[in-house]
Amino acid sequence: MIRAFRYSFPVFLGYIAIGAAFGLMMAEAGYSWYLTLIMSVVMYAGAGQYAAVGFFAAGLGLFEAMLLQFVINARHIAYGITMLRRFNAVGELGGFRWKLAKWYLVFSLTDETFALLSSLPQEQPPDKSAARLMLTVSALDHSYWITGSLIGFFAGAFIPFDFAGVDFALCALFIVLFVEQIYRVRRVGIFVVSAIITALAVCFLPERGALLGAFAVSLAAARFLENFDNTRKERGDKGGGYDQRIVK
Amino acid sequence: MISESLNDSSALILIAAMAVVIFGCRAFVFLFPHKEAGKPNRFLSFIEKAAPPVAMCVLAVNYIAARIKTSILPAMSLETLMVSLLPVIAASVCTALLHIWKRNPLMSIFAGLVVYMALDRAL
Repeated sequence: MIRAFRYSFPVFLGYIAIGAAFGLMMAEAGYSWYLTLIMSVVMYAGAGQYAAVGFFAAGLGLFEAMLLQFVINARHIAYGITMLRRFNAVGELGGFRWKLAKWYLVFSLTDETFALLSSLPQEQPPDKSAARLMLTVSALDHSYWITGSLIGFFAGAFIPFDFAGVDFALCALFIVLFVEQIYRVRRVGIFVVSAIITALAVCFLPERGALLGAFAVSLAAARFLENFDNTRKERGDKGGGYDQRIVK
Repeated sequence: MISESLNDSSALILIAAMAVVIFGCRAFVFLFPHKEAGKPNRFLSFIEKAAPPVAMCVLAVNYIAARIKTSILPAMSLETLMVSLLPVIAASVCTALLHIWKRNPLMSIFAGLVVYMALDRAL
């Protein structure tokens, strides 16, 4: 539990901050606290929930809302592929509870949780303690998000402390994990190309499609540029990294 | 409290539909049976290995670039532009360099956060 909290601490800061921004947005738009709570519990997607507030205001139809959510969240398909074997192994640990645990892990796979879980040491298949750690990190992240959105809803207007800027913790987390991935993969080309593609996508694509476009084109570029077949062998040769340093 | 444009029950229907789509994206590959034992699917195993590095790169650069984009306003002098971009750029560089130097994740993240918030308030 303490390990999981330390491991997910940057997400704690970030989710409280951007969750609060979402809650405040809902309060200012005149929606009830329970809609805010339900959205954070069942949707659990940062960009998706921000966009949804706009959909409500615009009176968007069911089909359009679903289509736009697909565009915003389609990159999560690739996260699922990466975690496929690990999560399936959790489901195979035996009993209904681990099956349920597997589907909770699938449900709660946000950008930030994916970033944390995919940086954990990979023993394949994960044993029960590894599975418990993944589950605790996922549930903590979810609880930070729910807490943040409720804080924002009820207290957002009264908090004298300015939350703006705390969400940079998530940016810093991604930068750190990015550096760790460079050490892990030991290649440069794909990172340079992905970075350029992402910068172009942010400049020229509409906000909602930028991440998906950048991610899809970067993956396609990676296919042509690099051969990832031998990355597994190289992993961990230097030790260290986000995983081993925090999770001990 | 009911908004002008939408009542709670239609909001709930919309939320449920969107939640299904979001869960569907995350669960996409889990919902289809696939051969685990036989030949591993080359496409899936490529994504499995390539997604973490590509995603971290895209997420980090997206975050920084989106911040830069929103702080660029029309009719801005070069000086005010540089001042408004300084916090995010300085904090990002600081996070990355400190991490390359010390490899201590929480330290790098806190240092970046402190630099960002200090510059953001000072400027």
